[in-house]
Amino acid sequence: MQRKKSLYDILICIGVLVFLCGFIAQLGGVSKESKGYPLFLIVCSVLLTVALLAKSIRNYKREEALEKDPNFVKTLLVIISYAILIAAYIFLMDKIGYIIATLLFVVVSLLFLKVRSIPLLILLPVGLTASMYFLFTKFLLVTLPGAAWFGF
Amino acid sequence: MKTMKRLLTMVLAGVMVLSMAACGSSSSQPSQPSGENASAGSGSDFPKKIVQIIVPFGAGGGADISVRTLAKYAEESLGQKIVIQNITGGSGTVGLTQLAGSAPDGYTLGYFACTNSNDSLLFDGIQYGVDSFVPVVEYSADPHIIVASKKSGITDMASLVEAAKANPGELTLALGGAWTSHDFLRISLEEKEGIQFKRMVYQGGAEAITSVASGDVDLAVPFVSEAIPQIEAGNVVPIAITSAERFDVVSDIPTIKEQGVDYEHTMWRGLVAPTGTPQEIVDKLADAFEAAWNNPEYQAEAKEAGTMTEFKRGEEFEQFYLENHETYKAMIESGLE
Amino acid sequence: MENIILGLTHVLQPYNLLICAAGLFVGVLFGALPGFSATMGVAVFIPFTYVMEPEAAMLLLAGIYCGGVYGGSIPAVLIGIPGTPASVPTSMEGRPLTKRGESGRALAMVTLSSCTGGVVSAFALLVGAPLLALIAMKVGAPEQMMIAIFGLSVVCTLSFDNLLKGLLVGFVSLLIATVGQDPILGFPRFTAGFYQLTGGVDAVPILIGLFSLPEVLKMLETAETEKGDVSRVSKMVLHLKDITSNIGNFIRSAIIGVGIGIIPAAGPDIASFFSYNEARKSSKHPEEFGNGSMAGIIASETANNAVTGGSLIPLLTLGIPGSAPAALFLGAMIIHGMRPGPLLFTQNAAEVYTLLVGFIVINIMMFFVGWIYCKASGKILLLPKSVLATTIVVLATVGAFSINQNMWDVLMMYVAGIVGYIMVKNDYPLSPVALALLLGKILEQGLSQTITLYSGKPLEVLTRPLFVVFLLFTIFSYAYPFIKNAKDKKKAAAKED
Repeated sequence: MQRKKSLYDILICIGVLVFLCGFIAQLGGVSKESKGYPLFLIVCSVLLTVALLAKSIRNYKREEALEKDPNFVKTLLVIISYAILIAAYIFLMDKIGYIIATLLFVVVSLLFLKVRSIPLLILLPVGLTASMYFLFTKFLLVTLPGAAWFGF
Repeated sequence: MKTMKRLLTMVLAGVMVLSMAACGSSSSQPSQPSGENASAGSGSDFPKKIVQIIVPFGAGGGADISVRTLAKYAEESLGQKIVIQNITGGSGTVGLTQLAGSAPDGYTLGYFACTNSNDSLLFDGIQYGVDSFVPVVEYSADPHIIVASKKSGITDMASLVEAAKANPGELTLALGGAWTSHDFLRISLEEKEGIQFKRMVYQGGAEAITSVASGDVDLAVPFVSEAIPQIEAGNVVPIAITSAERFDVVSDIPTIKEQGVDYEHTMWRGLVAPTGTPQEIVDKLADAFEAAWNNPEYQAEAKEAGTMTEFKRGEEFEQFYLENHETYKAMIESGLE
Repeated sequence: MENIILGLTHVLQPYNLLICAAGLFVGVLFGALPGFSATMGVAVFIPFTYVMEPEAAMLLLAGIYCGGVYGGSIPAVLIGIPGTPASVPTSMEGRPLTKRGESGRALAMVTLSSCTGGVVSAFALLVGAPLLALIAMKVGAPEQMMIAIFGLSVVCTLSFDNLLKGLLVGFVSLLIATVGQDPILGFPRFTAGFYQLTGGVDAVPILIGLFSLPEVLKMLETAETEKGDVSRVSKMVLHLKDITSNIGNFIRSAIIGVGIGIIPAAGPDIASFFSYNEARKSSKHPEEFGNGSMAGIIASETANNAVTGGSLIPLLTLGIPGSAPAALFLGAMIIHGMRPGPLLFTQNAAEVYTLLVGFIVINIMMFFVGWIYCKASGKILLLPKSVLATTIVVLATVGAFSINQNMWDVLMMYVAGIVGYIMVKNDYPLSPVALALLLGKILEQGLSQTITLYSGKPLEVLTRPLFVVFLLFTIFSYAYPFIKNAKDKKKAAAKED
């Protein structure tokens, strides 16, 4: 399969259809009174997706393959790794609390983004974490996850 | 280095602005008594640290206001700071789920209202039930005001029942939400009088009473604070208040009982702790909240906010808690059919 | 008149002026940080106001409210991330201007428009509150439904070049808005067994993720060049021509804003989309929209700030909150023993007129506070992308958490962000998601209530004057892009001849 612009649309359409199937599968449990409106939306969504799918497949046949971009794989890897990094941050925040997770995330993120300046690597994590912590727990009385560990 | 400096300046500026505002407001804050010296008495040294109350609804709402008003006065008698946590989402189930899973040490309490022990019947995936919590205190019971639109021609309970019987299932009733106290009032009133309303579900009591004021809907059952503006404006006709006695703020509205119908309905609000909290601590907390509740300043403030003050604790409240669970369970089951 | 002077003397006390300024500073900051919003600012400060004097409390909250609605536009212009959903249209026009090195011109106009909108709404509040509240009473379920349908027509105009994708995004988002308790019986549906979804999908965390994470990921694509793509901060200047050529636009947008504010359930976000859409339709240069149109910025900013005063009109007179922050105001007022209603204006004259006059003062003051913020934040453009990206991720995460204090929302924010990036990369518009999530619940509820009210007599709904007006607007709004398209084609054909 060649990399073409409409290939992504085809993949997205398939994804949306799977997502819509999730809704359709649960439709049985919905009471009669409140079924009509979502049903209408589902039907419209499915029709639109199928229309877009058909259009994309037609375009795919006609379209020329995208130019080979030497950086494509590299950029994609960067984006995916950063997305995983954010996911790890959110996961860690739930598990070990806001402070450690944020400190770690800021440092790793800066290193990942090729920051090598030592003062920045120390000041931003500490400054950002502390100011947010102060703002929320001490000032706005919102307890951030795991903040209670630190004996407040 | 230059960017560093700029960044630092920005962060500092932000912090400064905020602390400025903090000073502006904290200057008028009452000073908190420190924990140690105030918690004398009955053996244990509870409370050693801040007590938090989970309110599963947003800041500024009815639930939040009622808890904050009480907590403000309870801090004094408890000798500790009380922090309100508005853990919202999932129609209140997220906060209560978190409460059920908290350590049963008395440092985490939660706001609880009449319908919550039956949440697992209504919603999917709810892990907590009536056994997950120990009742601490009930501190208020809010009456509803039954109001009718001018167009409907209904002026009292007798004409309401008459109109409902004449057009079964046609009289429209605006509710503040499905499975709220409004809805349960409808279910129990329908059962009591053998009548049937046509349900109209709105987002909150204010929206419901607006629909009555504009004449779209015949009846609504908002809480006192939601009802007063439209009653004062003369846009709706007040029919009755659903408490056992008349209410100070709207003393000219008669109760349902006065009109010859033996019926009352209030939405009680209380505080609960996770199951497993030692009885000694529950008692201590109840003491503190009782003292706060008895404070005349609290009473005045609660009335102003439109809540009828009622207090239960200990065995009386425990029994009421269980009875209430069964009553609502029966209503939900009849509603589900 | 006596009361107005009384209010004025209260507002002009140094302490109260300081409170107004503090509220504005806090509000703008809350609005400007991605992941924070005006609603949140008001919500977290309500507990503080419990212990303040009623006048000061009202002024502080009013300052935060107005500042928060304004502040969202600063990052919208500078980095293309709207601080609040109400600034989404601003970001569509502001970002291209910044790329052209005209961030100063854009920010100056944002500030001026916001103040204009705010001041107009403040006067509407002061002068016309009891009269305008009657409109709020006339808006029932059928009108709300029509407004929602009308609002969704913006999707068509905004994505006319790619109607299929725009509509698809709109419909799927409307479907997502149906998750949670159904509006009639209150049973949860489409929750896949997650109790966290019982109350529905909260729009705010989704919008935080949708509008901030894709920008962060886009920054990474070109991370090699350390500096942002704009390294020049342009001077803050107002161009006289920008103002004189948009007088009609200012007036129309302010009226739309105040009107939407009065209508319960629709807030500043809806107003800015509406007004932006109308400006685009009536513009002589519609091709400028999307490429840095001043008229677009003016429309969006004037309207969203005009909502602030408008939404307090039904609140003060009838206890009906016209927007989410207004609902919070209600709580704060009750705490201070001020019960909304017709008697409020006589029983609590001092507090109310302080608030009303304060609203005008606050909106004038906002011009200067805003100017300071804009000058300071223009420096954001000089920050290295690495610092900017990292900070935005932390802000979005903490912001999404703190709305409901709930990790689930952070997860939703993240998923929305990833989906948003995929959408942006493949030319799926993001703004229909915002519109659909904000309007979906209103639409379904209005629809079901209208059906209950008019079952068996559907034509009687046409006896409601406001409904008919909205209906005509809606029909025109849906037909317009097609009429326009046909006209343009005809013109093009005529030219070829």
